[in-house]
Amino acid sequence: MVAATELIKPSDFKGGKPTWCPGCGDYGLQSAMRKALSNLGYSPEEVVIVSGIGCSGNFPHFQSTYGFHSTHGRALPLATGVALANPDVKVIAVGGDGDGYGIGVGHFIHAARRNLDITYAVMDNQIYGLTLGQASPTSQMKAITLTTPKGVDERPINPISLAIGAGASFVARGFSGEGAHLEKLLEAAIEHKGFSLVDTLSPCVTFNRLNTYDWFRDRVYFLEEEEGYDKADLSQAFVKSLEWNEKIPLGIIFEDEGASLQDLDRIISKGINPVKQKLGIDPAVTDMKKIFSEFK
Amino acid sequence: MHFEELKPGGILIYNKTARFSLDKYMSEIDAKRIIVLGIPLTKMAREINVKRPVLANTISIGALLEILGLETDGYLRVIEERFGKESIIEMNRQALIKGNNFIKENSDVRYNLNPPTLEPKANIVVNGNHAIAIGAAASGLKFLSQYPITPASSILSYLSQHAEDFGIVVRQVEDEISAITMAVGAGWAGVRAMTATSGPGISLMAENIGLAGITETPVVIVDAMRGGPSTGVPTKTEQSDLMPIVHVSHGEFPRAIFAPRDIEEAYTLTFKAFNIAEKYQIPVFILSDFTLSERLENVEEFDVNLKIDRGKILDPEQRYPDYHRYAFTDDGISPRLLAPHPDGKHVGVGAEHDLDSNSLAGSQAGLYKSRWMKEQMFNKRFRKLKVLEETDMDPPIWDGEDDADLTFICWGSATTAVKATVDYLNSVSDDMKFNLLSFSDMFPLPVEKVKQELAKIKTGVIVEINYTGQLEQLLKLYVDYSPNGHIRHIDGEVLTRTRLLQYLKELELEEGKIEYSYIRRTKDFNKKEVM
Repeated sequence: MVAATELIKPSDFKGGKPTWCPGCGDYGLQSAMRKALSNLGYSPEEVVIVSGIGCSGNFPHFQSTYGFHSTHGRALPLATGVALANPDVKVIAVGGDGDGYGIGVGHFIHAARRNLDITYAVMDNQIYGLTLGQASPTSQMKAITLTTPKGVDERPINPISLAIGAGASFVARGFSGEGAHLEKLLEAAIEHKGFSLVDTLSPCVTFNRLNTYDWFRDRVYFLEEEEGYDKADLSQAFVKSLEWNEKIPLGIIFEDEGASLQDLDRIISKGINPVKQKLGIDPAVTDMKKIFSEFK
Repeated sequence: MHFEELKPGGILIYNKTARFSLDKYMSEIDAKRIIVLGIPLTKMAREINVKRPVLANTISIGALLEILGLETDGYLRVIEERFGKESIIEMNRQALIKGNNFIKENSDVRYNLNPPTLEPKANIVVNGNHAIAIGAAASGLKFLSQYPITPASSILSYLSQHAEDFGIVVRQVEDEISAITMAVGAGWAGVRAMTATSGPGISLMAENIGLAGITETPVVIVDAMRGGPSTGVPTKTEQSDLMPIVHVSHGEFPRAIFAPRDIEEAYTLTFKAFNIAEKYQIPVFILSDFTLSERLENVEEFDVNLKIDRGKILDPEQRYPDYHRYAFTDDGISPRLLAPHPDGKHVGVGAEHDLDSNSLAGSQAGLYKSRWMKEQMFNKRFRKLKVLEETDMDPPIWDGEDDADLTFICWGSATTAVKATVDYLNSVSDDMKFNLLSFSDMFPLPVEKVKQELAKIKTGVIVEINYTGQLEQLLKLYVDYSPNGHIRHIDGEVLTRTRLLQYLKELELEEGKIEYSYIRRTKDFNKKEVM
């Protein structure tokens, strides 16, 4: 981080011109992300934003940071490789519901339990937008889509309870229509030591005519304003994660301050940055006599 | 179980019990003139300790030592070293002597082996996976992500146990898709990164091997080949992933493939693989196989001071206002400027891209400048392959007699058996000469050099451990060479001199002349079967 944090403005993170449809929820995450990063004093070259495939996959191209637009569903493993190879850069993974909860759901579960210190912001629009409107893993039952003319007949994934169940140490839900709130959530997620999920309700104005901005506005409420809610309480968090339809909670649903993978990995925890190490055998680190003696 | 493998005149030693009878084998035993020796192993074990029939193993070793005319001292030392508890050592000691005495008292069958004449050296005894793991570590590996799979698992377990010794981040991950993708991420971030697997894992990795290809990210991928396809025979050997890896992943991109011929080469070629991966910014494959990965061999300590070449990496202390990640260069290699650096910012992308890694997919697709750029990017990436071919790919090497009448052509770990066969044939032949030409640098083939060597062959026979003749396909495709015959070993067992000579079973020494008409000619491929 640079010393004079006030010098970094959200607009410093502006990259290529977005190609999302006008009104797309993804703009909300982009704007909140730029503000959160500048509030925290990151400069663009210190940040690596990794994505998979889908409308969300283009996110890194629209920012001025380093980035990696990888393959469908693989943002989390790619981000993991970057973060472990160079712990000095701030790694943020972004994705969509098809990318993260469909084709990449195996990695999502394992990234949660691995508890690597990265943030995963999912632009959840409950539809496959880039391929013109097929049902996604979070599409609601009965939703009419290109591939479900009589309505969705498979139950949706609940990313919040899935993440909590998988051992994620920070699980939050934001809404593109609540920018200031989303910005604070992202700040907390980025500051959190461990895997942080920010599932962001990100309406697709072109293909999802059911879960619109208005549909969400009628239902969302801020968990911070709910008296007595304890985000450190796993059982409360599980119950809260199941709320949908009538009322949809926004905010940090679960947070646990346990050790991150960076604190536990046998190399990274020693403060070693792999990318800064000299190559080849360093006699100060490696006793080749001992290595070879095991084979004698 | 292995009865059919007994040679005529061989000796059959079995555990003589009341329940077991050899009756049904007797006609074959007589026909093959097999010497039968029944030892009541279980009964003798129980005489030492009623609860430990497992001592039958040591009793049989004691018996074998006597039959082979070897001293028991050495083996007794091994027992003392291997077993910690004195009571166990004592039981095994008794068992060894008991088996030894049984033969002394009951049998005059002896096959005296000559005791070793060479002094033991202070060498190391390692398998191919150890050699690859240590080669990777010595060449600067900093990140390994792997999913367990036979026969590549011991790379992961060895480096897991020595992560701190070498300073390597080692992660066992959820699947091979994750393994390769993490390695690509780590390689992109600037460390030497590797993953290791076998055929099934390669199939899962395919898409993201292409990601390394188009983003020009260095990564090393070990494929310890095993019987395929699908689950195949995981604990048996094959050389059947060569052509799959020449083409692995959709689309076209440069890659390099190395196949170590032996344990030493498993070490040196791993070192080379990392240099090539970084110098050319490409995925590089090491093709091992069950035979090489799991075989223990006595070798000299590896030289850990081989040359490390990281290729074009820019000095992070300097500024590069005109930096382009995919700048066009004569050799196609664009310098890397690792994160974090204010001038190096770019978005690595699996889509086709321009000099600054801006995607040419989506709204840019089909525009005139995108079409031109796409073509130029292909030219650039494949310029690297040409330079690699001409600069760093080594030609096949000769072994055996010069100017031979018959040349065996082989690759990777099959070389060991072929070399033993050639040495044997040369030792028994009066006026025919044999040699072999073996490949380790498989792809890209150094075309001109390979052509020069192949032109020296009078009669060529390709020996490989697969069904469809993958080296043969490669040579046909890239250097338009066809052999005079081929041997394709597919039963899963390690190829040995004995087995290879079986394939050459019609080979007869008649008045010093060797007939090799037995070798099926390529044109007769469907008519005659050698096996």
